[in-house]
Amino acid sequence: MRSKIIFIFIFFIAYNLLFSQEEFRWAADAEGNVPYIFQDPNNPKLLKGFEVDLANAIAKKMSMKPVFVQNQWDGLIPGLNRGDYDIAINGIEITADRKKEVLFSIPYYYTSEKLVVRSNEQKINGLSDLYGKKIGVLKNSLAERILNTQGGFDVLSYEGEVNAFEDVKNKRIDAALVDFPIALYYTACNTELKQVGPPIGEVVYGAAIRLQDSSLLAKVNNALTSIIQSGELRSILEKWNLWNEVIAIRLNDEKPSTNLHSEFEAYLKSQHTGHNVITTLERDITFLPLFAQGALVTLGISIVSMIIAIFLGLFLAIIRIFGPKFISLIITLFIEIIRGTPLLIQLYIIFYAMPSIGIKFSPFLAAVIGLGVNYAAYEAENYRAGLFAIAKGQMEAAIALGMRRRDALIFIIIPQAFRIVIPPVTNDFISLLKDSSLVSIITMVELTKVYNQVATTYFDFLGTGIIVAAIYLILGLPFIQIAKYSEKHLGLERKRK
Amino acid sequence: MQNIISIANLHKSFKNNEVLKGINLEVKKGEILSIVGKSGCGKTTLLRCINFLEIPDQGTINVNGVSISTDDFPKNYQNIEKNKIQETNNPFKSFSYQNEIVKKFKNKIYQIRGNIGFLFQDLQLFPHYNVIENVYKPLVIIKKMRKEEAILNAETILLKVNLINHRNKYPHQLSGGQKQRVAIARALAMSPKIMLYDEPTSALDPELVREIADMINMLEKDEITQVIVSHDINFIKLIAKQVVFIDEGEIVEMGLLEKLLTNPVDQRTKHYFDIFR
Repeated sequence: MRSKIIFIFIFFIAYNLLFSQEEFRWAADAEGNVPYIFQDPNNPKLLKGFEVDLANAIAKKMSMKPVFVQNQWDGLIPGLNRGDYDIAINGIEITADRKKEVLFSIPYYYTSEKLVVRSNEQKINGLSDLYGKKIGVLKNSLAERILNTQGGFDVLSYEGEVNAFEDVKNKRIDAALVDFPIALYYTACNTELKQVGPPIGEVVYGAAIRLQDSSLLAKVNNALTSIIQSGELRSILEKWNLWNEVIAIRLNDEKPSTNLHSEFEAYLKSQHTGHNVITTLERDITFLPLFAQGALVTLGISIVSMIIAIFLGLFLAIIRIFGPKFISLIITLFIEIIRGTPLLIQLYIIFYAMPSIGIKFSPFLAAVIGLGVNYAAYEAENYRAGLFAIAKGQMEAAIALGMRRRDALIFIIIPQAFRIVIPPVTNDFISLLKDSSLVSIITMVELTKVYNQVATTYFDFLGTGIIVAAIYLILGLPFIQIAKYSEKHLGLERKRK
Repeated sequence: MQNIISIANLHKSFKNNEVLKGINLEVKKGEILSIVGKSGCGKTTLLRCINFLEIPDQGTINVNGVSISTDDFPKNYQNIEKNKIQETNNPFKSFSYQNEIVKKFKNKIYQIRGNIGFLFQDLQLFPHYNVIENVYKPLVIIKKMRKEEAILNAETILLKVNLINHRNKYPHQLSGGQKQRVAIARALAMSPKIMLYDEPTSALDPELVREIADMINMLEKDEITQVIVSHDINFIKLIAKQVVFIDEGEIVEMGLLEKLLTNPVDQRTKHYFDIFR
């Protein structure tokens, strides 16, 4: 029996050594990114999109195993340089600026910018009708550069196109100028919006690879060339209804289009079915496992961060109070810097700037260090306030009885300080739970990130928003109870007169 | 009778305000001595100097044969240490217990404090301990007494101050008078030779003043030396024979209460006691 297990074990290792494939680690942002990459409406755990098909095709050509890594779109290139993945394929335009930071594959898609306006808008038929008016663009996009170069427009840059479209609908802005695939998909399933005017400019997408990875670049380019020549790229793009005149010219492939847009139609169908309350509710319920996963990440990050905060805070407070003047001053300065700067910036520095000096944390570690250190500064101040408040008369009372300083601290001051700091510390935990949503910017897929992904894919900010808010509330509930309990029971003997 | 406390040429100032301007005072063993004067005259500071809650700037203090003199202090002490203490708002650093002098004279100061029970104006009971714990815990912590023995001791004292029925209550559940008695019991548990009281009646209802006076008179029988700072002359009348009148950091006059009331030598004394006659 035992030898059998060992045999199976050896076989398993050998099999893996012989047949295991190298990983093709590619990254994109699956948030509000139809038709590039998004969650399958029929199975939210699955990712779909023409870039998913493309990445899989490239990996297959290179005999590698595709592994997807979620990353905020803004952070795709920093993440690449951190080494979280080896290639980014996510509608990244090939520009001169970016070429200084990364290598680009040969282009895999050519397209243009298109204007999107409200369906009932009659007066706007092109850019010239929009002088002096508000136009939404994706930040750092070609659309933004075109409008700024031309001048005369009120340009608003957005984190995601979906937000720009929502603002067009709500009449906050007059039009959005976006890449053609996005304009196509969002207007097709959204009767309130339409495309107008001719294509503007030319957008060229390439896959981004680290500057020093020229061997990977060569392999990817080989794979891409073969995918283009075999017509596989065209069939992917046709499937998604993304084949257009520009790319036909660029790739020298002027055969007539097949009009078989299976994926495009499937997506439209998924968007048009079920818009009453019951079906929306049914669909939202299918997201629950996704949210549960996100909630677990949120809770994990919060608990680990809080443990760091409680103990690091205690350490900081003790040094600040009892340490020599000079060290105490340094700690004070540290606490003030941490408290006086945004957590967001601290997270960026820990995650993206530290690797450049040789310190690289995993996203989880970076998240708990960022949150933990930030809250440690607050906890240190809580402890200090608690100790000071108790110390004033009680310390004298203890030493007048003949107590030594250390005993007075241990038996008289700390037990009381502990009781008065429990409520503020539990309150801090609840706000940490909510602040943990910030770590989505360093690629942690926690509850808020899952919400964003789902909401922007299904245009359902309300229904899913209520679900997610409820989950946060439920997560925080036990700690609200702890705060209440401790205030009632431990704080009892401190009530005066 | 021999002196249990002698104070010679005691000076103390806070920043530029000289609170004590050369106090000379002797307290005899077993005596009840009251210190009276207007608020801000320095009477509380004098009391706090006796058990080194305040470090004197100048002078000699001898408590039960243990003597500390500022002549033995480092020469630059007044310049350096005082400034440092007053600069910081960190109570853990500004307290006298962490001060260089306290460190240097640690053994003597602990010896002195061991002989003195101090009743604070605001009592400072330990709110996280109940009555019996307030009394016995210091015995365990300071005197390293066994818990059972300490509790036994505490019970004896609580019986004496008539609090044994409240042994399991927390300070916030007690009345003002009861709190006062817990504070006295806590101090008595350490079996001090001297009790110092800082304004013991200031937080009490008038009918409770007699109760505390009875307590002090009871302790006189146990030969505990007692120094009481108060401006409550009606209370002083109940307890003291010897009275010291302090004004602006100086002892103006001392003697029997009746003499200060009826036949004061100094104009200031006369003026102060006028309203009580």
